[in-house]
Amino acid sequence: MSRPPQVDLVGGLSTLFPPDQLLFGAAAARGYDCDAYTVDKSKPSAIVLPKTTAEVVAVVKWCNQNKIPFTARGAGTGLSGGALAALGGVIVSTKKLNQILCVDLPNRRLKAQTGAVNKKLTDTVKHLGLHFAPDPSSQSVSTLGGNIGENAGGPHTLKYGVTYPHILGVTMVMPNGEVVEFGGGAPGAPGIDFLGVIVGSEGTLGIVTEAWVNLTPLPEAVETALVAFSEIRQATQTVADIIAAGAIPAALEMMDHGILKAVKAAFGFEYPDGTQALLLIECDGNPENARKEIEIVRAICEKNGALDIRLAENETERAKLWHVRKKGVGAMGRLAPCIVTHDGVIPRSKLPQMLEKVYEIAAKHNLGVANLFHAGDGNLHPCFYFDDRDPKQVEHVVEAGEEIIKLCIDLGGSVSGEHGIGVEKADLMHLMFTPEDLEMQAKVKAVFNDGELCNPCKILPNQKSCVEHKKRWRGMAW
Amino acid sequence: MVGHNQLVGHDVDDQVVVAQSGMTLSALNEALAPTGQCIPYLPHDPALMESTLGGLISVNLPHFLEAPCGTWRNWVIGMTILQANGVVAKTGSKAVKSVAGYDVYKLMIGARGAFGVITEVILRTYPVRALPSFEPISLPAARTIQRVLAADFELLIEDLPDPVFDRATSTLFSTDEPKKRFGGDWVMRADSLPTLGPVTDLMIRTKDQFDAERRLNPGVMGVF
Repeated sequence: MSRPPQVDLVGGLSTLFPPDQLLFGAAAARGYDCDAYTVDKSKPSAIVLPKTTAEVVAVVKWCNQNKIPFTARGAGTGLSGGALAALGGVIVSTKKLNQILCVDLPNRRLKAQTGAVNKKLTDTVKHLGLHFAPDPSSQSVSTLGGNIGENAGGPHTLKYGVTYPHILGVTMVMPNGEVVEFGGGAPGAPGIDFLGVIVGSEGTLGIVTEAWVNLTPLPEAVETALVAFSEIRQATQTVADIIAAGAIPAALEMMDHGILKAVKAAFGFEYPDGTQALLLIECDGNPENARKEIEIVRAICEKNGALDIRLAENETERAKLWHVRKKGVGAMGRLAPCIVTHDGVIPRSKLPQMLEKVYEIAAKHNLGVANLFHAGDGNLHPCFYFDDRDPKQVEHVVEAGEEIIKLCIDLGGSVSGEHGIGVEKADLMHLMFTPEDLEMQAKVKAVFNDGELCNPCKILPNQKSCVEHKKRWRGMAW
Repeated sequence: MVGHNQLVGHDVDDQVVVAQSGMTLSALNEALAPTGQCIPYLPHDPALMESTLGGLISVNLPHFLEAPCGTWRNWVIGMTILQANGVVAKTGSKAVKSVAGYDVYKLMIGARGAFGVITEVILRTYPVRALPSFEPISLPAARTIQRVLAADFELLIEDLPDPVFDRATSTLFSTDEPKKRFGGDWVMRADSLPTLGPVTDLMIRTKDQFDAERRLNPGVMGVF
């Protein structure tokens, strides 16, 4: 299937959706032509906004009948192009699929439609002393469905895990329009763990419309410290020492001078002269253990020559310390018109040598770089800032990203820590996996999706009829 | 697979270990102990500590440290699989956090060998220092394991003379057939196969993909 037959797309979809749930035309297409990975763009033919699972079924069945590809999209904050429309495709937006359906307190779980914003889940149960643990930095806008699609991480995965352990069940519309429910009863049931492959499948196995999620008690006590170092090595050594001490901090984040420059420009945030790296460390639990753990952390920081250790005395101060971390990437807008946040993961012990290499690669390509790390997980986010109106710079950013990923894999890591493969990294999968490995992955996909309509051409390289899609996606810079 | 029982490698600072699937859990924990690390699996039958990693992972029985420490689904981060067609392939990696395609190893956990033979497994270890203190309970003769939703747990165990249970996961280990059933519960029985849910078609499709000729563990799970 290379080009969809001439179909009256808008006419057909208008029989299924009222005007406030159907978008088309140049302006709408422009609004949905990329997610937060802005290097690749692809204009959809139409965007539908279903409110119920039944409406999702209707559009999926219609797309099957008319051979139109479709791609689910949450808030569009994805960083690997997973929400890019296929050639001639329809975007199925979950923004109106946003209801909290059930709060089941005795069983510490909540059921929501997948267009619900991540933070809204926590806000619904916060007053009850509970929260939805996965907290990607995008959580104030990203949706539960997007989090499921990407098996989203965030600063607290070190202690609380990624999204997968918190998903107890899903309702999914299969690529052929059937509805299947997975899980939903007592967790850990015998049988096959289909949830394990659905979470992180980047919308390629179907469209998840509802999910049961686990609610985690909010910790009794939280201790947060922001620590400044004059040398990066001191910071990375501190991370290693904390883990070696047997502590399991709730969060262990690192930022380098590039991020500091940006947050100073954006928020006037002050830090001691000569600071080259900041560590944001959080310990939680019962008040006694949290205090004990943060004291261990403080001692390690001092041993490694910390310039400054700021401990939050209350919630307001804690929020201020986190502000630096959560807004760090956005603040880079002060430094250049465009940023690309790369994503790689390596064994934690390799962090120091990886960071040195990142600076070398940036210098080689004449790009500015700022680094944010989930240091406890070895998950690095080199953020290149540049002007995307200059195609040469875009090319350098993509090349630099590939060099970084190659290095991550050589050091024993992975091609993606949390942003997923999408379109960005499909052609890099071979660096990590042999053809036999990828063939085995393709078997999993075929169990759910053996057609070419449901979010095609993502994740796995060399899928048939994908060359045309690729030409369209990479039309932007060259 | 019992002869295939070597430790392949242990990255101490990264808390990641690679072992052949024939290694027993007790041998692995013995090898990890000098570094203060472990795999925190505490089964109801102590003899299970002498089972192989491949076996334990393939059956994935509930255990008593599940609530504080997790399960095989939390600790397994990669595998080498010998497929039914003879092709060896890898899934996952040593990265503790990774979103890189379809995690085939997740389908293998608890799949009772239906889809492939696990030959090697990559595990993240747990710090011994962080283990909760516990009173070991054992019921080697357990024939059923039942788990209910938390709200039903007290009703489940009331009137039972001397129940063996894990309150944190609402799990009951028993020598008898379950006396009470609840909505949303599940039951595993030692002498018969797990009851199947409505996803049978997908299980069969998975079997068709991985073992079309039905060479592996025929009859397993009552479906294949």
